[in-house]
Amino acid sequence: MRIFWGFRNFAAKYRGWLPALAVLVVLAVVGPVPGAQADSLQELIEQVGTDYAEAYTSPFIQAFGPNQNTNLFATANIPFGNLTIGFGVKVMGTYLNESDQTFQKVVDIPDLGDIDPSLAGQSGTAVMSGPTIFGDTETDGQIDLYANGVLVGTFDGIPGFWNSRWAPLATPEVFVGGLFGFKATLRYFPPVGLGDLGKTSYVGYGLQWSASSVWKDPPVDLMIGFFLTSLDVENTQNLGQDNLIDSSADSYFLGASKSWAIFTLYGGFALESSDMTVTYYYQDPDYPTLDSNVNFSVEGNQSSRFTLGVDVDVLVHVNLEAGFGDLSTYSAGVMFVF
Amino acid sequence: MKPGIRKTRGIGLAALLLLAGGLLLNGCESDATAPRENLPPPTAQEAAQQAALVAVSAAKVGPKLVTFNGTVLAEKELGVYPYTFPEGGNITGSIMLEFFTGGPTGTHSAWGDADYGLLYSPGEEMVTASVDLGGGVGPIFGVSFDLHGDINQAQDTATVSGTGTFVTGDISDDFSLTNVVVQALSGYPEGGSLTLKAGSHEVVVTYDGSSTAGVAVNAVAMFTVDLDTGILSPVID
Repeated sequence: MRIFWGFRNFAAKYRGWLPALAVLVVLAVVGPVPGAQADSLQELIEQVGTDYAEAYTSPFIQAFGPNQNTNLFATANIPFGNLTIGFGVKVMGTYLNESDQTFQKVVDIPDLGDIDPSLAGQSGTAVMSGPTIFGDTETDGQIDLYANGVLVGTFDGIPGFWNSRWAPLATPEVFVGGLFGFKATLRYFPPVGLGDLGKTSYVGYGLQWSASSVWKDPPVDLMIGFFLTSLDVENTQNLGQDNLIDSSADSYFLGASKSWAIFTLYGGFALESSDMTVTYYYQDPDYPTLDSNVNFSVEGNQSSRFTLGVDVDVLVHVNLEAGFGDLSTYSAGVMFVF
Repeated sequence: MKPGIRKTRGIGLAALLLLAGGLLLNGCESDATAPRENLPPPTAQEAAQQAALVAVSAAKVGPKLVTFNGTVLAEKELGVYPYTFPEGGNITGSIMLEFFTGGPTGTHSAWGDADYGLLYSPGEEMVTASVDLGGGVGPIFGVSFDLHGDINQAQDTATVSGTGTFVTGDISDDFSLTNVVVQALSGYPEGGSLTLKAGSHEVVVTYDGSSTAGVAVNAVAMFTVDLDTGILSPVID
């Protein structure tokens, strides 16, 4: 018990530092954020065409939606007539399958001249393989061209961008609630340079309503809600394109919670969706005649999840959460609630 | 310890155990999302093209058993010769040659006295033939050999059999040679056959001493192969 009261006193004394500490802890776990690498994400991806880029970015695309739909609530109890304001930071990460650090994609090519002009008029197959965006940053991928069952050409792909099995995201959050059982939440950061990822902007908003506001003394608190998010990464090629990355994610959820003293155990089920559009101008490193616009959209696979979490009120609210769908997502948050 | 505090600790512990249980139940790992596709199985024509390249390589490499006249011995062992094809030629790579008198159970001898020989690829070595399949298509491949056969010094021929492997990119096929008669004069095998398995297809290339050889896929004569270029031509009924 001394340890508990010691922590509580520590939290009271240093509560201003807890959000930063939470971010640092998560970053220490997931690994260093890509900073001074040789190539930014934009510089890497503009060296490859559509098929390669789709495979290369697939773990990023699939993980980002679940990340955006994570840690949307830490309690299902929203007061009916007690205004509550909160602000803080949430950090989350999707733990990728080990095999998602590499890929291999096979594409039928009607005219191999689209990849190697010296093979114009010959049909064949391209085998694209190597690290994904979360793979080895020291190893280039490879593109092998086959015609009539025989290898006829081989080219370098691109290395990984960040060698990690964690796809992370961190966001500040504010909420206002406690009126008629409603709670409105906003997550936002303006366009900010995130190292080699590029200039990124993020906004998310949602609304929750708690049945506990009208259902007196329920065995557990119940709540429904939704949250919509959008994250963009700026395209720096200055050729009039849209953003390099446009992503959006939606979540519609049902939550339940039960509190004992300072602890709140919560869980929920959500229906969710996500999609991402990637746009850039492909610049072939060997054949400038092959340069072309690339634009593709991918929908996230994850359509639902179960959530389990615990929140601890030690002057600030600290919560830990795990989400289980096609992808496993973990999150922590620190919120000051008034 | 006060009952309330004990209860609080118990509830907190239960919550964390539930969270840990959820992790264990579902596993900590996500489903895979990155594509993991493989090349489709070869078509009949693709299998035939692979066999054609082996046939060209065998026709160019096999005669070394009767045309070799080098002097450098491997580790000064009589009758054991390493050979590297000269740069700029239509074959690149290295092979080992061993010569015997008294047949396969005989003793090592100099190449000029041998009545039996081995031709094989040392270690991971492969040889490759420079061919042009037309349209700017220069295949990238390697072939390893493990051949043996009787040598007829008077006629400058050898009848070889054995096995080998054909590799091109991620594709690897095994093949066998049966009684292929290699000769020093024209360089085109006078007889014998090569059998290659590629996917569900079995390809048999039959030599007849000319610059072309017949290619049958799954026992159906479908092509002929030019032993100088590796180009397949369909058989016209």
